[in-house]
Amino acid sequence: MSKHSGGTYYAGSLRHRIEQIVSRISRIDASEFQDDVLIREELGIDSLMSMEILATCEKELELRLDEATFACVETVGEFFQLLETTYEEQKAAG
Amino acid sequence: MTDTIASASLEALARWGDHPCLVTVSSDRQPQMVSAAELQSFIIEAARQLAGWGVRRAVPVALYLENSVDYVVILLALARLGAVAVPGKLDYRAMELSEFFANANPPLVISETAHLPVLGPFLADRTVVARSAAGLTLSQAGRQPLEEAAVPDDTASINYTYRGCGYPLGALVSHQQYLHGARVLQDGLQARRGDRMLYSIPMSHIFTLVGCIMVPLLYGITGVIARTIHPRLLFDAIAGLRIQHVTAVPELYALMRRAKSATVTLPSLEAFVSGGSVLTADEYQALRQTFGVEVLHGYGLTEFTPVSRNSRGQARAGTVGPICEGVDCRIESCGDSGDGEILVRGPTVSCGYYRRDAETRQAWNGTWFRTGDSGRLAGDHLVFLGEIKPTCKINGVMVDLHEVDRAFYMHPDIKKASVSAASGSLVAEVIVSSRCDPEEKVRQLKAFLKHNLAAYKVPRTINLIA
Repeated sequence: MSKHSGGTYYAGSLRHRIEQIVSRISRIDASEFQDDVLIREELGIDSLMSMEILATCEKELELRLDEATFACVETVGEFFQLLETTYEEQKAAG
Repeated sequence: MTDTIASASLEALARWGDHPCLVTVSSDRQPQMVSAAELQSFIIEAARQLAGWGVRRAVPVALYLENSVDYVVILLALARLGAVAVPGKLDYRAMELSEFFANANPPLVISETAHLPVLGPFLADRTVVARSAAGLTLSQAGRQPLEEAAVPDDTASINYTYRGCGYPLGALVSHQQYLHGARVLQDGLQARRGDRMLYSIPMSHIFTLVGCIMVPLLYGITGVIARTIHPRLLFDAIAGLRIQHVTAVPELYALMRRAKSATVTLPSLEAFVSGGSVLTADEYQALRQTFGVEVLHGYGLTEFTPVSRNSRGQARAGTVGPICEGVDCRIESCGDSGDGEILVRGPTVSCGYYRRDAETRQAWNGTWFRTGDSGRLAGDHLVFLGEIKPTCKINGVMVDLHEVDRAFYMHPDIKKASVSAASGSLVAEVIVSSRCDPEEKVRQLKAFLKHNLAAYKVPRTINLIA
């Protein structure tokens, strides 16, 4: 895992870290995380599992995600985009 | 006159005290509190409104509602009128809905406004009441008078469940079953008046109806309806509202355990009431260690809840507790091991499945109800070993494997399908008649199943066999 001394992930390594979390919880190989894949229908990630992914990302990346926004996310690409944007906003806000 | 869930609840509300009766917690609002006096007046007003739409004794009324104060109000208003609540799951899709409406044939349906498009094909000729933040409104007038169901007088609800027939069965649940179930669960929990109990499992489940709605209402406990399963928000609610008890399924407790960090402190918490699926001895110990609370796991079915439950100060890992007072239980053992099918009987066990005589005869052996589950007795504790019937639990919700098979066979390309459960998820092996790209075919099949079945019943893995 590449993480610089300030505790902040670079964009590429952040995505890699999120992929690791999702893969570990869902037991799905990260190679399946193509941007257009539907999280619930195609990956079979149910509400409990998606909540575990959300909670684990919050815990390990030290951020807070809005549950209602997360519920609107449909694809893998939208999920990564949400996390990357939230991460950058919350790091910038300190 | 015999108590009903309405008369018993209204009596409890009349001597409630100053503490809130219900609190709703969600991710986007401050907690909303309802007093006992407010809940009483809501129930009486809803009963008046429902009576105006023709609801009366023995009329079956389908409920397609989210967890809310309104759910509690409507359930008790129906009971006050002597009507029969028929809780439906919001996850149901075309195939389950078709069976549900054909069997229950409810002349009146109360649904979330946003859910009406899903129910649309099944609503012809029925009276439809839409629920929104503004309250209940008549959305469609159906045939009057509303047709009564031929059910025993004491029937409070028809609750749909499975036993491997390939379609849902509506268990007739009496008022006395609700009241008995609540009493024995409270005997095990020993909650005090003014305590608070948090829950987030769907109110359409019998475990929620008895353990989360009736127990708090009848024993002066504030029910905290969490409209989220996000662990951070649950921890915030437990800490902020000083909650003593949580009622949930083992899968949610496991999620909370994994999400809990050392900085989360929950000093008010005393007990986790658990049911709905298997809680392993290891997970029991892990929960005890992580949260420092008592874990009271139990066992019940839609036809009878609870059969057994662990009690404060006497809970044991790996068991579903002693058989509850008022219940006879025996193990129909085939060998020397003592393992066998769990059979139960008692005055409040469901008397059968609504309009399913053959299935009722198959499930009841005289007065004994065959659970279709395997167990053994360890001293005075019951140990649940698994399901004999072709069903499984996914996140605490029952799945009938033959129903999923049936859904596959509705697809014109399926020659053979076999669904099984492994490690908490469903796996399907299917033979298709047409030659096609396997990935595209799996994608098509999942979309087809999702249209016909609740999403949690769509197998996570579909293997195409040449």
